[in-house]
Amino acid sequence: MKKLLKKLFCLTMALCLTCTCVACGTPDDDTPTIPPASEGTLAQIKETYGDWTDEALEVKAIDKGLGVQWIKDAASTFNKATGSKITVLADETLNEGVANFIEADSGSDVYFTFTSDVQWVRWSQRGLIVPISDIESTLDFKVNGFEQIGIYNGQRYIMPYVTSPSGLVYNQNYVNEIPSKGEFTTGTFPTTWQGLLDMCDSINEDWNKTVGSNKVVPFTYGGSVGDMDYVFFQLWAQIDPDGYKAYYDQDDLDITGETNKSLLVSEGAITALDCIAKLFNTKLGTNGYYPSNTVSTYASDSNLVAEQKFLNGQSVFTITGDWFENEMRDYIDEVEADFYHFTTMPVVKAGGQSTISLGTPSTYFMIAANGKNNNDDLAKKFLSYMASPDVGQIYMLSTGSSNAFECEVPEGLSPFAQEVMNAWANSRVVVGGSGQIPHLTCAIGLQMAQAYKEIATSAYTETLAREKIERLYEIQYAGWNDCVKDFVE
Amino acid sequence: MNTIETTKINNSMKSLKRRNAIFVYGFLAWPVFQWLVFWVYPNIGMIVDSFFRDSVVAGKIFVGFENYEVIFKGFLGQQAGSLFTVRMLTNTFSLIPLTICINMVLMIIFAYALYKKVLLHGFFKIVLFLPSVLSAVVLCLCFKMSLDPDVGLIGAFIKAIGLGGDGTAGNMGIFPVGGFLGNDETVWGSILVFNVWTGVSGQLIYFNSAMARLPASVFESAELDGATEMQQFFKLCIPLIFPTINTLIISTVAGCLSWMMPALLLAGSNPNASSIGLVITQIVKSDSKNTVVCAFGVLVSIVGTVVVLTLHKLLDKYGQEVEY
Repeated sequence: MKKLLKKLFCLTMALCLTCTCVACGTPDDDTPTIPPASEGTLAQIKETYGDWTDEALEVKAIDKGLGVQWIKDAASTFNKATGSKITVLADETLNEGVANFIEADSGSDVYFTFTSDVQWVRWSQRGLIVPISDIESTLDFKVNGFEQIGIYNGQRYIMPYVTSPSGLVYNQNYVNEIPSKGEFTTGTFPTTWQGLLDMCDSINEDWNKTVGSNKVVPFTYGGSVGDMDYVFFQLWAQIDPDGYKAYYDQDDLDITGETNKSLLVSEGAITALDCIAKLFNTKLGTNGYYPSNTVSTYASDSNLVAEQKFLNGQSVFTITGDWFENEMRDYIDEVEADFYHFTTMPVVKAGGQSTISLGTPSTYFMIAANGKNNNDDLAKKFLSYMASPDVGQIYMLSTGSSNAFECEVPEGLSPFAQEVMNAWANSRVVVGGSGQIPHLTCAIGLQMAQAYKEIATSAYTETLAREKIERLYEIQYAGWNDCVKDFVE
Repeated sequence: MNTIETTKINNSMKSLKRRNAIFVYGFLAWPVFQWLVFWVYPNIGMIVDSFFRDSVVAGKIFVGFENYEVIFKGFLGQQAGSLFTVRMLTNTFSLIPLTICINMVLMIIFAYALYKKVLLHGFFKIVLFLPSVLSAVVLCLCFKMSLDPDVGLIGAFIKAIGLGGDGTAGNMGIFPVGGFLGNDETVWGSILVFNVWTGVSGQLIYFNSAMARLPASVFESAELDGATEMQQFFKLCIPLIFPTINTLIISTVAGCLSWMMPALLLAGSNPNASSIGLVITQIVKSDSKNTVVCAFGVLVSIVGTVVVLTLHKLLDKYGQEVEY
């Protein structure tokens, strides 16, 4: 009996240890996601990018969310066409470790990673990354404004790649049940902000559905990872696209006298935050004010937890983006969910245009100056190829998302991915970024988390949003010089 | 013995000494080299860099104490939005009494219970060691999920004992708005609870080993002399393992200054859950050439050295150490 108990305990320990080895990234699977390229396509690639027989290149890519299979597929096709020997390495912690790799000799040649803008600017000035302005003519950016990203002192150093439009993912089955109210009609997800608020009221007051012992709430979101930013910036861009662009395009390094205050403390930003305050719909409870339209753990939920709660039926919609299906693929298969649909933020003003704002910096490609194969020419050709429409389609089929470059929408996309592409086609797309110093240094970055928290735990007033925006500007003004001083002569 | 033989013996002694020296210093060379390269050099570099700024347009510029000014401005509340806050310091230093007065005490008690082979000691050994075997990410995930009032174990328990309110969103009982890890007032307390849960198992094995080496005859004779379990614990066990207690207190307190992983995984970038280690990590992640963090590192080293040396002196002065 004692031996049996010992064996059971050992088995339990072994299972626990096995579970700790399970990563939260995408499974490592080298199965190609695309059919092999035809001889004609391979010949065309060779004619465009040249013969690189036996020339080697090492690409290291961040293995999170989007995975790396699409890069491997593209590299494999390029190798077959040109004779090159490009290898792709996946690294789950590349974002944290790239600063060490880039400074070491004989690291990888090309990196696909995500860092703050200040990082790659510093690397460029220290000669650690190679300028790639000579491939500029081959980069056909899909969105006006994206071509500014990655340029410093007139030279391009990084190639932004991922666009990741954000939006709302909703449960159509629930929408079909919720009683109509105000501007919300049963069966149709609201296209106006007032309609969204009316739907939330109907959920709480008229519908009152429970799942298990939990009441279904209007929405979930990743409060601990700042997902409400997607709503704020999308709405601001929608309400005042010119003001939104002007905010990111500001280039003044000396703002003594609060000369740039009107760029932030503007009707667009204030209205956007006011919409969020109304979405929270705070009510007074026994423990103070709480947001009645979301779950009680809103402030500590991560994006994954929020999306899981949505798939579990605990909310009607969740604040996420085009990465939702890719990120939750295993869980979607497990619960056999087919009720989710993508939509952009509802319009705030009557007659307003649906708007998608693309946040920057985005995951990008860069070429290391001290790579082990020291083959900048091949690296640049490879980057040009990665920006081509062919690879754009590979990317779409593999990730369900769109990259930063023009390409036709391929056949075979999932219904969800198709909805994202349709939303993209029917929306105004703006870029939340620029090549100006205040943006590169995060001087214009906003510490929104505390503002959301305070709004979610305060009584709603008409001046609440303005107070929070003004406070955000105070913080921005106080830290401005520290952010830009390294760029001042 | 004639002179030739004496010389031969002397030469062989010298040769033996030389070979011993080569052996000893040869083995020491690598750790000394590592210490020089990975500790001395970076720390000297950190001290030097704390007086410079790495400008993108002008290269490395000497700025004197400007970096230190930025830090103190933050502490004094003269710069809105600064990461350097008094809350960060109080959070970090709250780990020290927690470590000494709760974690260490619990570890010693559990280790003694295992040493005395209490009922089901085998089972308790596994349960106590389990958190140190699992990864920090898994532990944080389990803890976070368990605090969820809707689906978590602790949440369900709180509701079961009637402290969860009436279950409506407006009356959540002791659940704070935003959850234990989302509410600014309860987030750090929740992280401390996590620290107790996972901190107890970490160094249990050292106390186990120390107690295993204790002479059983001492305890047997004490028992024959009529000493109770409590007397044996306080008058025999604690003094006999005091060197281990001393070492582990010093190392754990020093570790508090770089502690950051649970705060990062449980609370993200919540400024009410920041710690010294977390702030340093956040700054370096966004800009690896930010020299303000070097100045901060120097200040933390100075304060940490004072704290550790003071603690060491107090433990040496007031601790009872018995040789056996």
